[in-house]
Amino acid sequence: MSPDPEVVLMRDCLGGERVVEIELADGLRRDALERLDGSGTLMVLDSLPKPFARYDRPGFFLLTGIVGERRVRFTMRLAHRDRAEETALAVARELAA
Amino acid sequence: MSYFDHAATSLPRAPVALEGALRGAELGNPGRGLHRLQRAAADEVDRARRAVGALLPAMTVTFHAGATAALNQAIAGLRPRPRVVALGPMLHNAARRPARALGVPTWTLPHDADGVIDLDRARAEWVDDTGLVVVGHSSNVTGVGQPVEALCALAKALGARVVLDAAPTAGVWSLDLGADLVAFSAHKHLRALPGTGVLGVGPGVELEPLVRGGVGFDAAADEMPEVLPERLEAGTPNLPGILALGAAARVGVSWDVEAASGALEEVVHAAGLRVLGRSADAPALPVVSFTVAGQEPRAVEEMLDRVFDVTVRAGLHCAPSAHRVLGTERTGTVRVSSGSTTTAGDLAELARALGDLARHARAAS
Repeated sequence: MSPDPEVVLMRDCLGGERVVEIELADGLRRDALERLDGSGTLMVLDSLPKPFARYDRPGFFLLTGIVGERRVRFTMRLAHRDRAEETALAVARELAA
Repeated sequence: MSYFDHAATSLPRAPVALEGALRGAELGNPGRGLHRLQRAAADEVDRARRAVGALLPAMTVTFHAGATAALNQAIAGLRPRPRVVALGPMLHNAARRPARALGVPTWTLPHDADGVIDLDRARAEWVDDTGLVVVGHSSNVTGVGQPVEALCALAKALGARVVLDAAPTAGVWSLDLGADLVAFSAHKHLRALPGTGVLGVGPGVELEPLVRGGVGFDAAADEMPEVLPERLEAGTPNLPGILALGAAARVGVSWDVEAASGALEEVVHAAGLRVLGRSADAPALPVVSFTVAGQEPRAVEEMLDRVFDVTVRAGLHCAPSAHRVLGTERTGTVRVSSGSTTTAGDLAELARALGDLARHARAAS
């Protein structure tokens, strides 16, 4: 069983959104991103020097990170800021599954 | 790493500033007693004050814990209290919040689409009883300067004091513009230490101190002394910060700001990105805000940092009113800003990163 993902930074920005950065136990995998809830849009900029991934659930959160690296960032939209940490950890656990 | 966040703080610090800071850390407490270390400290502070004074002709230099503290002192301490306050359209919160907190009516100076003040309209639409104008020298979001000298003349003619936020410009643009109070920090283009600020107080300006305490003389009195700078400098001064600033001010900033500004803007334009708020023919610092179609500024900042090793800043830059002018208050922008230590190599890295990023973002959208 993988260790739990760990919150490494939480900060408010843009007058209400909340950023939560999480360290995954292993590097971010593209297949794990593709398995996330289909209501979001996944974009992986493969041709950059490092493959940058962004998964956007409009009105809820934006997940960003580099495929293969452990740190991912959740930018929680205003309406969901109060449950930012809980939501980010839940999604991070989905990514680790 | 290529560093393009000089508008937040300029790195690396000036070596002379670091030497000054170390010297300051070993001195006594100026103005308190007459022993050798105290006198050496007092002499050093006087020397620093004279060096900073060269940036603020005909003003009394007072030291504070940053530009924010200096602006609060200027705006909240001004006597008589203004009954109406005029605000620059692109103000940083360090100036805007204390002005709004006065609890008196405020109005925004008329401006164009880039946030540059329209002096003719300002004269025509001037609000009666305006006793104070608070304005930024240049925008920390777009780099574009305001017509401060003409605004000061107008305000003076109409009986209003002017507080100038010169945090972005100190050391690189002249501050001899006719403002009554000028505030700036030490850690931007002067490359001294954070936590140190200056308030230049013009002749005849009356200020109530916001912080009261010991100054080293008049100890038996209940009230703060009337004389400057001590009236505004209660407590033990930040000697490392003050001596660092003095040393940096003596050396000055040697930098072709206009060329740097043009070069930075050109890099962003060349990448095909949307530059905001710089269409006017106004002088500007090398501070450029842009957006990337289909990408949130925060994501762009993260990409530049983690993929390209280029450091920029995204968001509202503590200047929400500037973003309202630009129409970017919901998402903010990405801001790049260079400094006197920025090299051609840094610019080439930025150009490569922005070009790559813009191309791939277009292809992906």
